Amino acid sequence: MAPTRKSKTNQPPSPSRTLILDNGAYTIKAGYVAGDAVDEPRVIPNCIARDRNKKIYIASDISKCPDFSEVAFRRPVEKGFIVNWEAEKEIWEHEFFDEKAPQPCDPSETRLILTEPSNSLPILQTNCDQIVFEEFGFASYYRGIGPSLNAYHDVQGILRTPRDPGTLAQLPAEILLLIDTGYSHTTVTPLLRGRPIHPAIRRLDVGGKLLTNYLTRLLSLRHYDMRNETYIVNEMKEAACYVSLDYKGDHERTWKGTRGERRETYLNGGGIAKDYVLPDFHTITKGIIRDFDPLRASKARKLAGESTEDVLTLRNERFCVPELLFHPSDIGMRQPGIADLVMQSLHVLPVGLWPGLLANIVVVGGNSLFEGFVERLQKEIVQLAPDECFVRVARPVDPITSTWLGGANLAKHENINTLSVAKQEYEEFGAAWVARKFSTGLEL
Amino acid sequence: MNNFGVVELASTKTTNAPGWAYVPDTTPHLAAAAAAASLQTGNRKRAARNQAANTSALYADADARQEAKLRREIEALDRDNYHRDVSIPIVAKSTSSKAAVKKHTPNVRKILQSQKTFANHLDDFEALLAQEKSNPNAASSAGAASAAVAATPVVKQEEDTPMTDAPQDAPTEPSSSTTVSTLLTPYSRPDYPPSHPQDADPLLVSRVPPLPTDAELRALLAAPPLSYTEARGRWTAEDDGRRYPARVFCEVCGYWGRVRCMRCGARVCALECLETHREECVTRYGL
Ligand SMILES: [Zn+2]
Ligand SMILES: [Zn+2]
Repeated sequence: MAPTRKSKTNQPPSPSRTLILDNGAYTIKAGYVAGDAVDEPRVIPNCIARDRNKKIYIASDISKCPDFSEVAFRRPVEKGFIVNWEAEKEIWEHEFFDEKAPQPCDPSETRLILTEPSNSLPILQTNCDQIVFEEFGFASYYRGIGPSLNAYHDVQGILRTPRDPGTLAQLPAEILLLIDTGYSHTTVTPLLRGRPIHPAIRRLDVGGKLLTNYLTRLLSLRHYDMRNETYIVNEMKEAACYVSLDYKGDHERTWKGTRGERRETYLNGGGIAKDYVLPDFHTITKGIIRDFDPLRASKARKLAGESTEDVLTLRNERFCVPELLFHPSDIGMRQPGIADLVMQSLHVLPVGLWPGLLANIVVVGGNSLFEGFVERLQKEIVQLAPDECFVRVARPVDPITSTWLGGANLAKHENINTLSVAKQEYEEFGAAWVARKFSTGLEL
Repeated sequence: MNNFGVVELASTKTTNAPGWAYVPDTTPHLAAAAAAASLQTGNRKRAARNQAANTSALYADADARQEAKLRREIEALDRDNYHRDVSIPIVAKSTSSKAAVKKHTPNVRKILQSQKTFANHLDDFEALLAQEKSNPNAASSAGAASAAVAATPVVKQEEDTPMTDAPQDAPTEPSSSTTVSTLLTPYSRPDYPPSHPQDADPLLVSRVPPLPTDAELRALLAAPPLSYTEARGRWTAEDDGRRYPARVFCEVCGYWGRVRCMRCGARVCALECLETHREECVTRYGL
């Protein structure tokens, strides 16, 4: 067994400051907790970008980029895991360790809480632990799966359970089914008292990246060649896409009709069509979404020469793209949609846990921000769940920073002292011991 | 041209339709694949070959190739930059910088120099698992981490995982009423929406399955993680084709793909999109 107890006695006191890094493939959420003081987390692009003039931007520097057309990205995180440490180190140094770093950190006096996705590869975990201790030299460190940190929230508050005012939330939450739908993928994680039930964790390989690329493909086939415009298309996706609550009906409302005919709903937009003004990075730096204007084409002709706006009319692209989260088979992926993924997860568990899990579903991650996402998911799970189960799906106020905030709550919770590893322990017992300790987690 | 799309083939099943036909959904993903393929500049030859496979006699063959094409297309959607392979080098820092002077440990140097992708690491890992499976006595040279994983009982994810298939053979029979869980509070329906008068009906109450015992819960929580591949959600045999009836879409406009181009198998919604598609189909593949 791990000599945890013995080593604790000659450990230095825990660092007073904790850096929490929710190290996502698309963005890092980063901030400090010191005592009861909790930072507002920064959301940092986790990439090195290069613009069309070959200028390089590291992480948060990208906000200085004047023109996002044809920007290319290098991302150290692949499938949710830190794979390329050369690039990740560059980004971390830029944000935390360089002289001019915006969130300066002295690792020798800091505890690090770092997220990872579930079902990692041992080699990637070992690489991570070695870098944290041998390269950066953090005094104390905990690496754990991101979804678990969401148990360190007032989950009943998120779910709006009626209760006496002033009720103190029990942390970690007793029972929670956490759905995390991010850039790389979507996962379902059942949690009991903050501990994941590993055999029931399921992953769907559809995330924000795939959706953006799919929208890129559709637009390039139907409108303009957008294949080098990942940044612009991503903005468009975030502004214009939604999850349909009436998929067939929305298709009818956006179809032009057979030959010659133009359906009424097509001509007036059917309440779905939107015009999207593409940024030109001179007068327009960010795309603008507008209600569909049936007369735009003729107006533009009148203004010929004056109007330089590039406008796309988005119709079924608005709802066919996020639909892949619920119907990956629409592009030929042989994977179940999110609602079925939830049921596959439950089927590994004793039925006695189902009512509690189904009544406490929380969704986090950027894709949960699509309009209609929560409603559709709730509707589909209700259809699949046993009739006597009460299904509740909720999204925290900020689903992007929810995992980070959970991490901040963990940093203040006594559990972190059991979970984390001191640098001396790493030096004394080695990387394999550390990996075992993290995978064991909290005992009940 | 007048016999658009119909190529002389050895099959007697060739339909001499004027280039299109209403067809049953037998090859679900042709439209998606064909649409995708038209963006793949490198695949014209293959696409040209595929177009010969547009009669039902050759669907099986076409399906296999479409399947492969589809896989490539899904992989293309997985890239960080849709259209390009991007190599953005890390610019060496000026020597005045503290970090540049710093010496790395051998471990760190090795990690920083690695150019392996996730797929490389996954291949390595699965090769190691296979090796350890075939040679269980060999002490793992790859360290404790992989050994721990090798010892992981592989939770079967076959079709129809029974719900009692919890790890460690934890019995999921209803626990007797005397063993009350101390780990979880018994489930009570949240008081939202307002409770129904019949909620207290013993017949209904009894239908709420009892919580697992503490021992069962501990066993569940102690179970190790699945591997990356095992955790992937997948269709069960029962799902295949039933729960996910193929939805096919018009390659041109994205509406339902109710019409098939007899030349290349692409799906379109109706005549207008078929005409648009034909222009593409002709200019792209010649004729
Ligand atoms: Zn069409
Ligand atoms: Zn065709």
